[in-house]
Amino acid sequence: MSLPDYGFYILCGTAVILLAAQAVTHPTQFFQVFIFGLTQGAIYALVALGYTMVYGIIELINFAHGDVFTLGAYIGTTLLGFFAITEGTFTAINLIALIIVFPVVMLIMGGINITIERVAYRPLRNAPRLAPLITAIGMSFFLEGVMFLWRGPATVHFPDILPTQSWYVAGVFFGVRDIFVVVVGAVLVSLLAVFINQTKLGKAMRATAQDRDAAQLMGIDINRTIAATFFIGALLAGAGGIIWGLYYNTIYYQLGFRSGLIAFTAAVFGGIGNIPGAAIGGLVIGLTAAFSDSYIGSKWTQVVIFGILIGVLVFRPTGLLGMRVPEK
Amino acid sequence: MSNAAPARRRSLRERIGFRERIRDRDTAVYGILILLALMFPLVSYNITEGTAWISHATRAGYWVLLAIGLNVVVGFAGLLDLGYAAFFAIGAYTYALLASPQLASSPANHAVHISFWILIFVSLMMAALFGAILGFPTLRLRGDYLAIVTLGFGEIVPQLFYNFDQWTGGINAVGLIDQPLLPAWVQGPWSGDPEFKIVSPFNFNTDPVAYYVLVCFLVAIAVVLVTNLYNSRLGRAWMAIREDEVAAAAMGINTVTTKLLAFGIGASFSGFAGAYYAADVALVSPDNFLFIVSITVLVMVVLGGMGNVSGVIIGALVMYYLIFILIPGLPEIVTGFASNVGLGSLNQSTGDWPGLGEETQRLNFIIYGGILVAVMLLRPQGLLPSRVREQELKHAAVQEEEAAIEMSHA
Amino acid sequence: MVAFACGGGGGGGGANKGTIKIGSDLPVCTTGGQSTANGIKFAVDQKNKAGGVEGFTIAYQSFDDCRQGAYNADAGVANVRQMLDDSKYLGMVGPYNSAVAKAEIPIAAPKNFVMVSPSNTNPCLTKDIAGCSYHPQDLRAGNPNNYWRVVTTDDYQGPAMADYMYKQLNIKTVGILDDSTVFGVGIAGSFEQEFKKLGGTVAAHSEYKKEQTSDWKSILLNFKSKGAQGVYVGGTDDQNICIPRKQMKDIGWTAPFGGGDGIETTDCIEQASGNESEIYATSAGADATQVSGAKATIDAFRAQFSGANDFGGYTMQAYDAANALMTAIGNAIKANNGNMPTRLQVRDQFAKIQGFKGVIGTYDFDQNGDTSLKIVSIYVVKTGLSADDAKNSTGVCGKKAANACFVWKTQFDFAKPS
Repeated sequence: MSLPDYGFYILCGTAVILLAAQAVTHPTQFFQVFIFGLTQGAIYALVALGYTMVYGIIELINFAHGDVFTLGAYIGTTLLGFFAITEGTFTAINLIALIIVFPVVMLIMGGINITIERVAYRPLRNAPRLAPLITAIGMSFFLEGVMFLWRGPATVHFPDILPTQSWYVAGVFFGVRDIFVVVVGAVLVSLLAVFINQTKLGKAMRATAQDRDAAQLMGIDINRTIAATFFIGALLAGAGGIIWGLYYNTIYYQLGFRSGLIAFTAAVFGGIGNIPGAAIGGLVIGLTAAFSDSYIGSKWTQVVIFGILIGVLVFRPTGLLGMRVPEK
Repeated sequence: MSNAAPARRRSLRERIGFRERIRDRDTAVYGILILLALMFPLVSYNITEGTAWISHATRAGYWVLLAIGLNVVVGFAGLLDLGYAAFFAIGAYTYALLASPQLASSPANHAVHISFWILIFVSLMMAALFGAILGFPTLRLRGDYLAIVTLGFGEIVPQLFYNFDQWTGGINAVGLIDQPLLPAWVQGPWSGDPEFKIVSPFNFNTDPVAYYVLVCFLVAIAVVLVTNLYNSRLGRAWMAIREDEVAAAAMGINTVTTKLLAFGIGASFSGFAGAYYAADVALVSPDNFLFIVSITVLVMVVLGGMGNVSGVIIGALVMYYLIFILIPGLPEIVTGFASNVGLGSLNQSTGDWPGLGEETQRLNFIIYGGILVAVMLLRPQGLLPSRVREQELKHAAVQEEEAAIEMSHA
Repeated sequence: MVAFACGGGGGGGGANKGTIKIGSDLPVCTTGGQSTANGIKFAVDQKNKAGGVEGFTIAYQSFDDCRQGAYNADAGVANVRQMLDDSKYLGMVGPYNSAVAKAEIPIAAPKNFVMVSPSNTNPCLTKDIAGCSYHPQDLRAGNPNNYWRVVTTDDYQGPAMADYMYKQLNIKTVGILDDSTVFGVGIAGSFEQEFKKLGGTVAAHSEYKKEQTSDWKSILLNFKSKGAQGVYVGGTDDQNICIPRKQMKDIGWTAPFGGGDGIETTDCIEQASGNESEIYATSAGADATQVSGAKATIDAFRAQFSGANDFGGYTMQAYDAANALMTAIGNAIKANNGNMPTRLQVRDQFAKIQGFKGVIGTYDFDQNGDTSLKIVSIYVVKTGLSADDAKNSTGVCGKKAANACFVWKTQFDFAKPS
């Protein structure tokens, strides 16, 4: 069905060789850009996971997911405002605030996402396939509207409360915040992978994704499983929102639409429905964007990202790590 | 043979099938639409003493064209296209570049001015061509992977028009686009010369009614073409693919060619719409073809009733009214209402309260999103669904119910 | 198509002869647009309190050309069409963005509808110069000019900052970033041209789009590694143009950050979050401290609009624009024997305005619609100001960072031969 795989390898090989050449000739800039891409990609990966899980289980492109992510950041900045945090340095109160706010926001977002699923998607489970897509778009507008009404159209400040230490290693500049993003992202992705593979609920999710009717016959509560998927996706999106805020310190209400689109692209890129695939897809897109901004020119970045996407899908129609499952 | 009853002469009425046609919902919808289209200019002139409603109608027209085109891809063939605006952009730029002074300041160094009536077909062909070019390698993809490829294409195309600013003017947009000119016999003395004036001058430069008439013709042509396609062999092949691609292939349908045709034909309508849009707005900028345009057209198609041409037209008109007239006009309506019922004080801004009008404006997103969700929940099949699909849905629902009953008994 | 019927009665000498409407078309969903609308509202209120214009009351309606949180030319066109359809509208203030003006002028010109922009700085709108993709007379479709602006053009703002950065800040290599809007590309281009003319080097010229970019670090690093000593941005705060300022800190780069009037805003200071100082911005027009009597108007405005973001970089320009429009309307009423004038009469009277005394200076308009006031002021953000200083600042201040304000530095007067 697909064109030979070597087309895909030629594509990847060329990119690797070009980048390796840069790495050798201008190592400092290369590794600096690599760090930028890595941090950006880690956040995309967190958002992409929510897309890939939901798509895997009910075949819905959940356009509202990006806005759940942004709303997480908005709630995060509001909650942090209740603590006596100090911006620009790292204090014990900052740490306590973070430890409290992280799980609280994640849980709130989980609750919101379950409600969204209940209101906008569940009643349409047997409707034409595109009907929930439209409610997802509607929900996306709705959430953007809530944030717009709440904090207005301008950018909103997110407190800068991470440690500000930074280092130059061989001319490459990086700080605690860069490490923080990558580490927290990696931990969350690993936790999710363990959860999906090891727990009973995770097994139920995989079964539901594979064949909903068969899963139901095996006694799996479909509604509960799907709700759980939305809940976990939103946990990660909420965490992603706070991490975004801590890292960039500026958020605005339309952030999620675009980031969501990129994250969904990342999910497809990695092979939709595939957890490690989504994480890798996020990283690849983050790195591509950073390298393209730096080496090719920022106005070509969109063309490069989506060009690569189309290229990969043409040569490998199920994404980087996608399984070649026959269509039902 | 002699005992066979002589064929009864059918009455004229029966032969035209008048009653059946009236009963047929589509005919009724089209009839109402034609009537409204004819009455609209007269009525709107008298009510609003101006051309605002006519200008709105000319703009609603290209959304209708886009929705009809996307319906071929999404509704007939069941392929999800999230980058439809790209073909719209290609159509619009084709007309804009070949009928404006733009190319004089490009490396070509020579302005081109080709007639609208020729270019509208060139735009159509260009869009169809790009539809085929994109479709050829990617239509082998299944399901929503195709959606993502089209999404990517939709992101790339406006960016390319932006990036090649030497040719397209980039963000500065192509402006001063030629207006369509009617042949001399249409503009004859009976329309211009006051002495012999029978109809008012029909001039695209000054009169939105000219565009209104034009877009009505374009929509009519599109409807006839699409309806015939739907009832053709190709239309049935699309339906078969939509329902079950594997079974369709087993029945001997060349799925790739058939999908390619859906893609190309769907794209060609947006080329059509693009050329018209470029002429009407007279300014084509890459910013007008972003993802939100593709999404809006998709919403029109799904909300109207996928697969049903008349439903899609209604969907496009309703959504146009909602997005471009009702929601932007809400603050005025609300403040007017408040002052009429004696709550005028609410309209003033005090302290944190920004005033009722401003507050309503801030609610725009929520209202729009809420309406989308509510309509889809109330009518998941769309406002005016295709009859065939409605039957299928009912069938499926019954099956589900039966399955549920069986389960509960088990 | 629109009937220019005189609005009813007319003649009668009473205090109130009727209502004349003026509109504005601004992106009021942004703080910049909203603070600009405040200036018009203030001018109209003042005028009506003083008895209106020649016995007519002025009704002001603010139209919003935002769509999804940012200006949109299509929305602007729809607004202008709405005003054109109501014969009581004799003119408008706006639009705010040059891209919108480009779409609106062709519709308004055939109807002789006066547009006075407080903030459009793209030179192509009025000047027939190289580098524009169209001629201003074509934009007006051969009709007499209907478009004026009270601010000077980017071809002065860009060079002023180039001159300042090159000579005063001693920056010889610069990185340029624009936000891919008509305004941003235009002003960045005029900066680049002048900077090179002065002998400077442009390390790189990058562009981004708001909806696509939230991480500028790779772009900034590229500037830095090519030896840039400063950054010039062409763009506006509603396109997030000042977030890169914050991210310069994230890559450990301390360098001046210059831009046009699109960054002399509250939101820009907010976006810089923590890296506000050394943001340099040009503003088209003189600072209030440099014009006698201007301070009193600003104080009166602040008394009526006390919110932190009610006063913006274009509030006084809008105040002037509204007053100029009402002056033209007043003259047209006089010329029409005290009756409701036509749009054509208002247009003709606007074209005759000479020596208009405004808050940002005293100026004329040339036949293209440009102001004779060719002053460009330079502001820089100072942090840690006292509450009093912030309150009396003639430049805008931050919202959260309330003690960070734009402070006037110097001005360039391009009208005087230097």
